[in-house]
Amino acid sequence: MKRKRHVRFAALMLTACAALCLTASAQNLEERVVEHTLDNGMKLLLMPRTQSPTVALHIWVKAGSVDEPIDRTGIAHMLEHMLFKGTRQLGALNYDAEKPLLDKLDELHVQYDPLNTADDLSDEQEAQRDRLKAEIERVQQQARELAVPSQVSELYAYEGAVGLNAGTGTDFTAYIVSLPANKIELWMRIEAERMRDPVLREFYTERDVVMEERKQRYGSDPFGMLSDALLTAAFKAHPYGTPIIGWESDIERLKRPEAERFFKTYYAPNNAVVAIVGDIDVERVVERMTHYFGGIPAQEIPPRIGTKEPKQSGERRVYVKFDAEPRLQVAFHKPTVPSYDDFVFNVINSLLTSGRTARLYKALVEERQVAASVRSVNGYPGSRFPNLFMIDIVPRSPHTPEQVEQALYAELERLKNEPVSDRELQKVRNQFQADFIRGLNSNAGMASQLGYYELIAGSWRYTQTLLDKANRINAEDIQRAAREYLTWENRTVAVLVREAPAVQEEADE
Amino acid sequence: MKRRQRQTLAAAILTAVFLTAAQAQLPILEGLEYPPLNANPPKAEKVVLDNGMRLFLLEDHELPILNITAYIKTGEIYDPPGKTGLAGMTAAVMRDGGTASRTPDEINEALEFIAGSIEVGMSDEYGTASLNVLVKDADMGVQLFADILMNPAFQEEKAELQRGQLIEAIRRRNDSPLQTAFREMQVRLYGDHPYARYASMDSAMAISREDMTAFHRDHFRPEGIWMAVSGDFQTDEIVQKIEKAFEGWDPPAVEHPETPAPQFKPGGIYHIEKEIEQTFIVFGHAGIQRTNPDWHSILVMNDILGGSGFTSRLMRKIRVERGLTYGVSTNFFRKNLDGFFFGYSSTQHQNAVELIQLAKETMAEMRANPVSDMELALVKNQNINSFVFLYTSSAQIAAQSLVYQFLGYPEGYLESWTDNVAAVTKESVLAAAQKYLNPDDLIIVTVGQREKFGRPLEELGEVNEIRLESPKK
Repeated sequence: MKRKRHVRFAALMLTACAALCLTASAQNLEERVVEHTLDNGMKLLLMPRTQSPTVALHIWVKAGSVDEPIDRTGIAHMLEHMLFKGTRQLGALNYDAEKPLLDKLDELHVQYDPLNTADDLSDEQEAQRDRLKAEIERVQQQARELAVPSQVSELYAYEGAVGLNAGTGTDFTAYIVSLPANKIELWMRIEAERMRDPVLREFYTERDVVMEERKQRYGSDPFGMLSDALLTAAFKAHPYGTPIIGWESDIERLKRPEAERFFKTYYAPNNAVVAIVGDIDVERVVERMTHYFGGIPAQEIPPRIGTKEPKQSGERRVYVKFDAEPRLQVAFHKPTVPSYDDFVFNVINSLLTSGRTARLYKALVEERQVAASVRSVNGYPGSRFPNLFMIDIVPRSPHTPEQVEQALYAELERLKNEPVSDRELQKVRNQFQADFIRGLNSNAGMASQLGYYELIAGSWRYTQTLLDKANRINAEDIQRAAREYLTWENRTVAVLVREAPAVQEEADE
Repeated sequence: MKRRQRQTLAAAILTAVFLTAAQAQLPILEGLEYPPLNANPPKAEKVVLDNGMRLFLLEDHELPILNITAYIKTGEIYDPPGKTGLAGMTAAVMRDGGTASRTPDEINEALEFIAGSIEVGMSDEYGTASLNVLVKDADMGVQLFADILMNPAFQEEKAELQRGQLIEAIRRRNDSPLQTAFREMQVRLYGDHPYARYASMDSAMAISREDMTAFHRDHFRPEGIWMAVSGDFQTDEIVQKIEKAFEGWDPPAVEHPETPAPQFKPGGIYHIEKEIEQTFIVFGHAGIQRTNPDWHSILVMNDILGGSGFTSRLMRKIRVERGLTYGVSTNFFRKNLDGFFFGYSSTQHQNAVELIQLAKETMAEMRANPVSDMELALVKNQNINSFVFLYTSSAQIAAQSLVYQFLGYPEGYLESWTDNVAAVTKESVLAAAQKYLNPDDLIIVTVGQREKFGRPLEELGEVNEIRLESPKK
């Protein structure tokens, strides 16, 4: 049948070739991504795609929760929220009148926060707290009358932006939006303003919002709780163990000048990557970006955290009690990008949980039927520093998490003891190749990839490196890495339970 | 049709430029001019096969991939009494239970080795099936896809596996407080109507393999399947491939039973006790059909109320100004018959009643006074200017070209979109609020710790406590 098709389409050879050639070059990122660095060190990654008259616009800043002062956890995320509050121009009706009010609010909160967070207050202190609270509300109201709180969001919305958002990770903070392609310059103006001159107005109201976010995502969600418990157990020294959103007792004390300090330290053009994918004229974009961002001065970024997580020397196990059905996470320490073993774990990750033929799905969900679902992540919770390979399992009743755990370990032992077949390895390579191609199909997805790898690995070309390396990894690599890292000494186990385990009688031999 | 579409896009650009000028006093916008937007989205080609299957095809030679998304005339609303969950299980076991000539393992091994995927899904008023393969594997992909849709074997072992999965999902469905509140709101609103039925341990146990084969026979039929096909192919060639793969599929005709019109229950306050750090709140009332002629005014009204993120009133009042929540939003969930309006949020227990009151007041305010010119301009422009994002990939354009008609939206829904949004006025928004918002007849469900509420829930009315069954050991 295949041959017949060739004959039938012989007449279309020319068209077919044109299509094929185009296809081949579409996958060649080297030919499609234009890299340009402004004089102030801001890196631009530009990829024209003319599928639609739209453009994805991403700014990735190398400042995440790992970069926070140890007793100011949550400040990176808090700042991310605050950068939607405008600038001297944006969201302001009269900044000169507003500024002293904002300063006044800072002063009031220096007095108010300790009273608000204290456990025991005298009557006098309570009265003082309430007085301060009333004063804060009064000043807040005055300041609010001089501001348009959501103007940045409104400007974008008005012009048809979609996906306006920002995200804070352990490693980075990303600011993303997509616009109709003819409005790219609006984005440049707003974002250059944000980077040059933000005003963190409504800081203390937004702090309440973040406290609510914490209660929603961590305090009311079984998955959030379990993940939190796993990370704090797995990391004793490195800040990867600290929740990105911060500890409650830190968040409720954060002050505006502290967020400004964090901003001034890290939000510099030489600490940011801009990825733009869509219907763009590259030369024009470079020219306009230079115009808007070129005047923002570069600055020295302080040395990054040097703390290394010490080698783990025995299993760590934590339980979390929560009103939900049980769940299990198991994680192993491992090196990160660009170490060879990180590539090996990409392959292991895929072997274990990618699809219905993946080993853990087959063994735990299909054959033994001890789990409802299983997934895994390589590079958890970040990739700028040595990280974890994490397996997340939803047990299927009546099987306990501990029973599922044993089934998991049996599969991990297989990885150590039996070489992976050529076909299985080839399957994983095919999947990486196909995922890479599918990734090219979305402006926003592509912008994320370019920005992320530039930031984490120092080059967007890492997307290609991932493929090349995957093709080289062999059965021995996998066996060796499994033996080295997937051990009792190196693992952390977190279990979500509804009830505390019953006290067990000492068993007779 | 193609020409008409271009015209509407052009109209969108004009409106945008005109209204932007009104904002030009902002220094940051000074001298900013937008060049014309070159929007000429390609159009999918429609082909009806002899067996009645409809294809909407769009060639796209950028990447060597083939995507098919099929929409299927079926749905969970056809679950028979006592067998809620049958439609969903049928879809799951179609995918996982092998075919007449292929074992489940053969299908999965073949498909995953070529990095392809096939999924079959079920929602309330339709089913879906999708195929994603590299175009070099189009032959194998289309054959597997057709085999799964036409000849599923519903292997007993896999049916049991899916039953186990369904039961586990039932056990876990109160783990998430938001999901719990949402489900209970729907159930209280619709009573026993098919729009709000949820599988139980009993119904999961009652579903047999015969039920699934019968459901498949009656609901998966060529004339009820519309396919969006996009990717790196020649249209006539892929049509032939699909036609050949589905050749000879001619099950006897079947009439689907008609779904009765929903009889909505009156408003009421319901509480579910759960030990968590926030109270989750879901409120709702009767809504509208997909064919509702007032839709564009309702949409703009709802965007101003709570449907458009930071630019909506609820978000501004409850989050931005008061810091009471991380998120609050409202939506009209349109259906074939009457759908529903709902809103949700979450806040620390202390502020639960206050938040609900604020939401109700904001709804009442929408009914009492016209919205401002600014609000109206903002939301209308947002909807008109973001229209191009409906056409960002060939897969999306192909799906777009069938899905509105398939789901029963009015003729020309997309083509007349920008004109219809542009025609919305303050008066029509006010009329929509008065007709379609009813803050005094809400079903309100709270999930949280009631003794920590700063104000008693009874302030809102008589409170009904819901006790959830805890999963059997």
